[in-house]
Amino acid sequence: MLVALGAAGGFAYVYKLKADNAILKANQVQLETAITEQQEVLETKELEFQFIIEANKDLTDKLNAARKDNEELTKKFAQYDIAEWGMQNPERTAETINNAVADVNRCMEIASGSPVVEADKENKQCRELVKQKGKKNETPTD
Amino acid sequence: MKPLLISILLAIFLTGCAGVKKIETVKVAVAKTPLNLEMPEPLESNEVIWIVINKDNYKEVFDELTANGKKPVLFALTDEGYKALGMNYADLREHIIAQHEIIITYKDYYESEKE
Repeated sequence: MLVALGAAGGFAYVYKLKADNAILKANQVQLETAITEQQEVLETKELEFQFIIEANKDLTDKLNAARKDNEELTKKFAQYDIAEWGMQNPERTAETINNAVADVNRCMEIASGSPVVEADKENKQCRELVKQKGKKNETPTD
Repeated sequence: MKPLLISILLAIFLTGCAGVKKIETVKVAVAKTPLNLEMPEPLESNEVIWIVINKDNYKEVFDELTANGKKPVLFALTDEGYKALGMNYADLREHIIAQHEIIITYKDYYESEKE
């Protein structure tokens, strides 16, 4: 009787160990999957981080270019006495101003998303903006 | 003999209480639906004609306006006012560029197909 019970107990114990082992194996697989997923998440985060760094740099470059155009205008205004021009030759001054204003208006169009065209390369009112936006429009040759 | 038997049976049954539990993981990843708003159309500027008048040519300019059927009135700026207007315009342009680029970058980041 005692031997039979002992054997039954032993059998039950081994059976339970096997069941535990199966669960542990399943757990192992789950953990390994979780580790792989975590690894993928980390890689995605790394890519996102790189994108953010590049986007920040790109944005800073574009803003610097826009500021450079503004500084150029400030310099021009400081350099020339348009009041004196207007006194000496109002027709010629109006012509110069109208050409510049047409270019400035075109700059606004480009800034708001209008694609850069060949004629814009002659625009002296926003050289940096045209350069920046012009790069985007260039199609790679091979 | 009986207590020994009971002890063995108890020990066997109790091992069942210290069993290993299966891990369950729950995944919740629901992405937001992309907004996909259309970018506004680029500006199309209206032509603006500036007229420069001084103390010597104002009569001629007003006569020309009248001759062309326009009312002899001009909305004037001094050279300083003109410079200020020019700088305001340039600042606006810088602001438009910044906003435009920020929107594009956000769109690329949150609504990119690569995502």
